[in-house]
Amino acid sequence: MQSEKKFITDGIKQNCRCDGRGILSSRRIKIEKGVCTLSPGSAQLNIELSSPHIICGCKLEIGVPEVEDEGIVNLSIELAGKSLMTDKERMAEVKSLIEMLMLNYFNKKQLCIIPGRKCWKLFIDVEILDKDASNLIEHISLTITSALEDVKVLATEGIVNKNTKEEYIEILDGTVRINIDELPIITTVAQINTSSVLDLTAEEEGCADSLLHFSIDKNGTIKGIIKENPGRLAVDQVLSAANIAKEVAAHIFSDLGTGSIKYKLS
Amino acid sequence: MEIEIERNLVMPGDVVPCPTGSMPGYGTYQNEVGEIVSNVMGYPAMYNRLVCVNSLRGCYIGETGNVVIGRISQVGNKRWKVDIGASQEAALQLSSIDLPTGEHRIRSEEDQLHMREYFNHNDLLSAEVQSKSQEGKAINLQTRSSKFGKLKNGMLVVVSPNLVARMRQHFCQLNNEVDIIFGRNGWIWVYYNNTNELEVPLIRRQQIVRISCLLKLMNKALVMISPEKIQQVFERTSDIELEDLLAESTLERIKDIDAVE
Amino acid sequence: MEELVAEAWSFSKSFDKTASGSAYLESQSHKILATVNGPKEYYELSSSEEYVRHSQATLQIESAHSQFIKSAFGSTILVDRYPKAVIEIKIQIIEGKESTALPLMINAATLSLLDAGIEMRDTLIACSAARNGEKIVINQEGSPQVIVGYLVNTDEIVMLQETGGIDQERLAELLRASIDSCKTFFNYLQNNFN
Repeated sequence: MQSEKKFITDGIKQNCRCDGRGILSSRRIKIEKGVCTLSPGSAQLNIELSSPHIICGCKLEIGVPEVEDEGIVNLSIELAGKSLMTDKERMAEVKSLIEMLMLNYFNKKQLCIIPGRKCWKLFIDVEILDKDASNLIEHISLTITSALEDVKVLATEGIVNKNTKEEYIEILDGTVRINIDELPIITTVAQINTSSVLDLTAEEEGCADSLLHFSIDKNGTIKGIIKENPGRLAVDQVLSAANIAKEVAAHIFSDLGTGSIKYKLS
Repeated sequence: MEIEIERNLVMPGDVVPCPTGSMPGYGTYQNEVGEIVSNVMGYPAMYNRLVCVNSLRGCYIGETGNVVIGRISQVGNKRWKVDIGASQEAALQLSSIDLPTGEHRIRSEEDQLHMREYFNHNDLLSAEVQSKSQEGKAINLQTRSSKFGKLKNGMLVVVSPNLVARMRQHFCQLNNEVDIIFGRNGWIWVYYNNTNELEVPLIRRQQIVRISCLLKLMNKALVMISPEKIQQVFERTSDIELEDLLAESTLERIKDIDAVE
Repeated sequence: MEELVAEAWSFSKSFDKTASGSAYLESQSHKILATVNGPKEYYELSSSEEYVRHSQATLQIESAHSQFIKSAFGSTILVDRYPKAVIEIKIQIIEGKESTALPLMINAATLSLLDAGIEMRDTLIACSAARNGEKIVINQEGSPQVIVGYLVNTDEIVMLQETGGIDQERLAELLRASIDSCKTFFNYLQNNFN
């Protein structure tokens, strides 16, 4: 095991990783929308030459709001197949990171139907199919973004009868799209010894000293940073990782529409 | 000597065509009428009078004399447990390893305490199947030769065991000077055989990574794996850059080389 | 130089004799209690990970924000010195908002680890720096806010969180501000640790 780690870290030093990539290149991922015909919105992420990786499905219900003029967003992340206690803990950590870095910026006001009385409850269910899935935070954020783009919400109008105070929800023609203009994506910059590495595989994640998750929106603004893994960083390393993350986010946003993403920084 | 009966795919329940007087081997059983019936999906083969079916998929079964690669999963009472991708973990007895000093002696209490210095948890090693106990089918390994032992300076590629062809020599070196150990359990070790240097030099590393990527693609394309086939695939794809090697287009090229149906 | 606004801290330690180490930290907005138990024998059902666990100590953190605290101390405590052992850290917020408590929780935990005599690579101090109008405020609310866990002598960051959106200039500025306050807190500790 030690010698395998050494092989991997030496390779990263020499800019030749175990699958031929350079340290600032990603794998090619393909995102397909509308895979679950029964859901109002869904997306599936596959890594080239690999079995299906991550599926995200969204469903909507009408419910009672907690905050007067906002709807409710509920995220669940599960590992397909049998999962150990450590996997469940890991999934809980991943879920809290995604909520902090991404879903906090979701515009919940658009889910309001009747302020204080009725709103949409949006359930985002993520299923991870590959037990060797790596770079989870980044890939899940991309899958969720695509699934939300795919969602079609029934157009509704909420009416409150002024006299009887009864509420009606009238269903109008057509569907509405969810607004994700301000929703950021998350990209991870890992630190292995002194090199910054992108899109780690499962074996490489075992050697990562620290992981910096950056949440960046369409305009290139950093919306959040969280560091994971017990590794130690100097201030300069943090700032240069921020630069790398911004460049990656720009590539991702321009490729997101095509459904096929691969980035390579020089 | 293994002879393959005509290349007809048999499914569980199909009768295997064979000369009278044959005995059922692995992958088959004999039914009440005396016919030899297949247990698995695969291609039938004959060893003298034994009729067997080589399964297309499935975990490694194990035969005495096979060279395998495994990972230590437990360090225990005078023996290690090794994961070789079979239905059960294999056992490596303390008495079945080569002591680093090369001595031949009975193992003492001291040796038991130093087991971790020989092989530690999660180490990769190459070994030979010493025996297979009939009840419970537990496999016993041995590393009683200097060519077996702990592995380093390389990377592991895991393919389907059915794709690893029978070969005389499991420790090979390809034309471009990459060393390979073919484990019959489908675990293949691609490495740099020079213990003098601290780090694997970049040129060798690129060759090792190239061969590993080709092996992964051959696994996906269901191409039988042997040194000659690897050489063929290597030549066919030598124009592709290392970075772009793991791609759908390369897979198509490899599939053209006669694939296992 | 911008004006830095900070709040006063006071702490006491070794109040809980049954724990290996303990500390109580009080600031204007929070009161935090931390206790440490261990290192002590770790019994775990044997699994195939048996060896890896036992070659170093395991950290068990019982508190809010436990995943971040665990990863910060994972790089600070010298776990190789305590094989086959477990170190249990429990941090409670007696008063104050949970969402802003993280830096103080880390400092309380550091104090209790110092009290328990557990070997650490360096002293881990955490601070948050945020913009509130014209001023930079320490350990108070503001946006954008950067929370940093810092090893004072080796000058390294072991924990980093930023929420609210930030541009790179601000990021550099807030990072340096929080590192400076970590150093100030460290000096305060050194002078008052009795």
